[in-house]
Amino acid sequence: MENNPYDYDFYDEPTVAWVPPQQQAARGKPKEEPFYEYPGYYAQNERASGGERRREAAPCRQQAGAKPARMSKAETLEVADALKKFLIVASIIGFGALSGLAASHVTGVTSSHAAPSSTAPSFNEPQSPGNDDNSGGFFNQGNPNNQSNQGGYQFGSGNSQSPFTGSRSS
Amino acid sequence: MGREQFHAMGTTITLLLPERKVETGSRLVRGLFMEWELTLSRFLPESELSRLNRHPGVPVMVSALLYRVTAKALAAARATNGLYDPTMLDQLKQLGYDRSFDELTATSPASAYKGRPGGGWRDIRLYPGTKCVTLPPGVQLDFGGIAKGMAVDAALDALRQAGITPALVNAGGDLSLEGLPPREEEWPIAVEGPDTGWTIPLRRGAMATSGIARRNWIQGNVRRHHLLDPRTGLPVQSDLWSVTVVAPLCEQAEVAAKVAFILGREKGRDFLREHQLAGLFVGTDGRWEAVEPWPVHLMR
Repeated sequence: MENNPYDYDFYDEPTVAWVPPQQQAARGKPKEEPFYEYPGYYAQNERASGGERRREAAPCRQQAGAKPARMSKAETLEVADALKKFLIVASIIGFGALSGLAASHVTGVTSSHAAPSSTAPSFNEPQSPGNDDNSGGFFNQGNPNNQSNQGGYQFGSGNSQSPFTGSRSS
Repeated sequence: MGREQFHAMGTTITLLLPERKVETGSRLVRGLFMEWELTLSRFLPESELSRLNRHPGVPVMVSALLYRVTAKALAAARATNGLYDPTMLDQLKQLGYDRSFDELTATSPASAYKGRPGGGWRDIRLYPGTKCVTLPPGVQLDFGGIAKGMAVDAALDALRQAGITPALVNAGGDLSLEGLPPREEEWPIAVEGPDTGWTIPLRRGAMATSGIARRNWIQGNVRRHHLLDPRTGLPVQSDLWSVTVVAPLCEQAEVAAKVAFILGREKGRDFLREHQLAGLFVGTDGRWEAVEPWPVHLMR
C-alpha cells in the first residue's frame, strides 16, 4: 500500500516521498544530466557552461524537489476552522461597507441635485466671464469692513510735511 | 527710510523700505517685477502673453501667473460691465500704439480707423482645472494697468511675508503701502495736477491715477491717448486731465481710476460712491472735484 499516490494518507507521518513513474525508471542515471525540463534546468545547464546572466536569475526560482512542511490532521482542521470564521467575518464586514458606500452615494447624488449652483466647475467645464454672478467681487476684496467708508484704506491727519513719493497718470 | 529705483513694466518702480532691509527687499521686488514683465508684456514677442495672443480659437495651457491675471482682468471687466476691457489691443494698435511707449515716435502716420467697440472679453473661456485659456478669434489680451497694479500688490505682499515693513511700492504712480514710516503717522503722497499738485496723507491702502498727461501721441494730425472707451473703441474725449482713486488694493484703485475717467465726472462720481472708493477728478483747466471720503480739508 505504500507507493500508490492515490491512496496516500497526508496526515499519517512519517511517509515515503512519492516518485513519479517516469523518474522511477531513470533513478540510476547521473544527477547532472536531467532527462526532462524542470524549472531549474536552464540554471543548472548554465552553471555547467559558465553563463553569468542566467546564473543570477536561478536563486529567484523555486528549487525542484523541495517538500512543503506537513501538518497533522488536527492542526489542519483547526486552521480550516479559523479560515472559515475569518471568511464569515470578512464577508459580513465587506457587505456592510459596500452597503454604506452605496447609501452615501445615493445621498450625495440627491444633495447635489438639491443645490446645483454650489457645484464647483469640473476640469473640462469652461468658465465664461459674462455669465458669472461675481460682479461685485472685484471691488469687495481686501476690504475687511465693508460697512465703513474706509474699510481697507485710511487717510491720515495731515501732520507730515513733504511728500515721500507721488501718484501721477502712468 | 531707504529709497531704491529701477525700471520695469515700462515705468519706474520706486521702493521705500527700512534702511537695513533695502538690499534684500529690492532684490525681492526686482525679481518679481522681472518675472511679471517677462510673462505679461505685450511688447515682448516671446512673452507668455504674446504667445497666447498668437493662438486664438484653441485652448492654451498657461502658467499660474498668466491664468491668475487673466481671471482677475475678466473679473474686473465683469465688475465694471465692460468699461474696463482687457481686449482692446487691436484698437490700440490701430490708433498707433503698436510698440512700447518708449519706442513710440511723437507722430505716427494717419489711419482710416474710425473706432470699433470692445467686448471680446465676454467670449474668453477659462478652464480652472487645467489652467487653460481660449481666446476667441480676433481677440487679443492687453492687461495694461491692472497687471501693474497687481504686481504692486504682489510685491507688497512678498515684502510683508519677508518681514520687510514698513514698505511702499510705487510703479509709475500706482502705489500701495504697508505700515507707517518711523516717527510718522502717515505717508504724505504727492498728487499731480496740470499746473500744481497736492499732498495727500495716506495711512493704509493703495492709490492710482489714470490720465492723459503722459501716454499721448499724434496720429496723422489727431492727438491720441491710451485711455480708450470700450463702447466706441476710441480715446475718451472729455475735459478731464486725470482721476486719482484710493482703494484697499492697487489693482482696484487702478481699474477704478480708469473707469471713472471713461465715465466722466458725474457718472464716475456715482461709480466711486457705489464702490465706497475715494477719488479726485482733475480737469484740464486745473479745477478739481473730490469724492468722499477724499480728505479735501487736508489737501495742501
